[in-house]
Amino acid sequence: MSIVINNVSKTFGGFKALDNVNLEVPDGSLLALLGPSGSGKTTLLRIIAGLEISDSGTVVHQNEDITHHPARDRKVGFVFQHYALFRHMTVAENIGFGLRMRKVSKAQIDERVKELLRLIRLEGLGSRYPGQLSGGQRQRVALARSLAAQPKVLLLDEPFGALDARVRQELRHWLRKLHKEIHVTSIFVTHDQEEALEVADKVVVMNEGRIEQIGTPEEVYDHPETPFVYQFLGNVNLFHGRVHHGRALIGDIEVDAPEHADAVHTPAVAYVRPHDFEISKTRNGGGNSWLEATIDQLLAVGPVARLDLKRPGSDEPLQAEISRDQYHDLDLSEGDRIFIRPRRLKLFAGEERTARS
Amino acid sequence: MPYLLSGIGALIGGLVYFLLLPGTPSARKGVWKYPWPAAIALAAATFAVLFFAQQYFEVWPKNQSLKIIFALPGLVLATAFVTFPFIARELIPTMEAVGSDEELAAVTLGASGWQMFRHVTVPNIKWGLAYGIILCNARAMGEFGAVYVVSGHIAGKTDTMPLRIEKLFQEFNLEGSYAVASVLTLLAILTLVIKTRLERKVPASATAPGPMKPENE
Repeated sequence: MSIVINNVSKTFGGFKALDNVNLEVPDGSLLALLGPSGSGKTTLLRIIAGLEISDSGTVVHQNEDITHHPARDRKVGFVFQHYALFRHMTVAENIGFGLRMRKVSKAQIDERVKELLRLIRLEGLGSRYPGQLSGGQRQRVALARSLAAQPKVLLLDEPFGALDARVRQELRHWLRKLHKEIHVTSIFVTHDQEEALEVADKVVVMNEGRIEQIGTPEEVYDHPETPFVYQFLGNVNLFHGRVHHGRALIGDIEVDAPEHADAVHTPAVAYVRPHDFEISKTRNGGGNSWLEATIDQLLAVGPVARLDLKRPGSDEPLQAEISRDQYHDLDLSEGDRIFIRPRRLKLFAGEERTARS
Repeated sequence: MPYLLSGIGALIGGLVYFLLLPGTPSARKGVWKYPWPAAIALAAATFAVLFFAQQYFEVWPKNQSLKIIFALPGLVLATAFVTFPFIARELIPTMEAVGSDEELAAVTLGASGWQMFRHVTVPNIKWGLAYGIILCNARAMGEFGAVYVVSGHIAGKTDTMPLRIEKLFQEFNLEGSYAVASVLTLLAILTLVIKTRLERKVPASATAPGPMKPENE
């Protein structure tokens, strides 16, 4: 294990930023800390970097307790959201800064700077100042600067947060590729679920200072363990119902819920992803497995058609997504009465939290 | 002894202040509404006791034949007291504009506190600092009141230019006083020139040395 975090807590004034967090980061992994603002993800990153000291708990790095080591001795690379390049130094001087501080010989520094400029594809721009670069180029320089002294861990704080959508997309792919090349243990913070799922090979979902779930992108997206993770990762429809002896009653429909076999009239919430709905113009004889709905709005631009639905007797809007082909086959139009059936749903019984507003 | 006495005095004052401090913020009036100015006033009173009472108590600087008042240290202290706000007024906005990210970056890259200060902090604030020093210097050259009180009026030892001018003038040495006044005027003009030069650089210190171009990938 490269980094192990044991029972770390941190309070700012009366605000609990981190509440007893435990995390293990394997060597060479690319891990995303994902959560809404105020979930403690940046605080955790800064504690690993040594820019913040935890109130309690320990940070262990390669079997060495570094909880109280100063930031400069931790051999971490830190990339800031707003680059934090030294504005009075050229790109080459910026990249070589860490080596200069460690009194490396000039020839070696020049060599390493050249190598890194090639890695970030900015050869020939070494004598420019940060002010003369674009945002994407600046963030690449910041990354090269943090890699120069061969850190054992690379920490990135919302690295693409300040960039526009197209550059962000490019840099994501580039970061993923770069990580495959250099294999340094990396942790990055993001509030963008798409970014986390796309770039990381392990995602840590955080909320209110606690870790909600740790898993691969597929695991957290397909098998969320908590209602929070379900509603935070992608769009979701919420149904209120009850479970009783392994059967869940949600609106007019009944489904099997074998994992809640011993529940007795317990309130439950069910989550269904928009693309997990089956849509039909008739009940197809399926009896009580179909929900009635009317199409409120239709949006058929792009590869999927999005339906905003309304259920009779309910104010909660529903969202469904079907493929363009299916949309044409069904020949739907606004105001139509249709029937929907969840292909897959996730049930949380006894859960008081109604996750979606 | 006087240090101890004034220390105890300050402690008692602080204790009385917090004992009388009303529990609820809304009930706090007058002195109790502003704890910080009150604390500063208390500290100032303590220092006043220290300085003015050193005649009566055998104070450490006197024992060590290090005189503060009516000597060079007194001049320096009085001048620093009236001129430091000029540097602070220049530096604080500059530092706020620059922010702390670059310094944190330097630390994570392995810089020590001193290296960070020398390679990152100072270059970022150098124009603001230079401008502040110029303003500070101008104020120091012209300072009369505070320095007059603490100077010993010993020619060539505890004199500043304005004090010298005044003294020469009082001695009816008009040529001498005009000569020194001319030198002071020339220095003032020189300061003005440097200040105007620097003024053009100061706003740029908050951005970058190179021209900031719009983002283009």
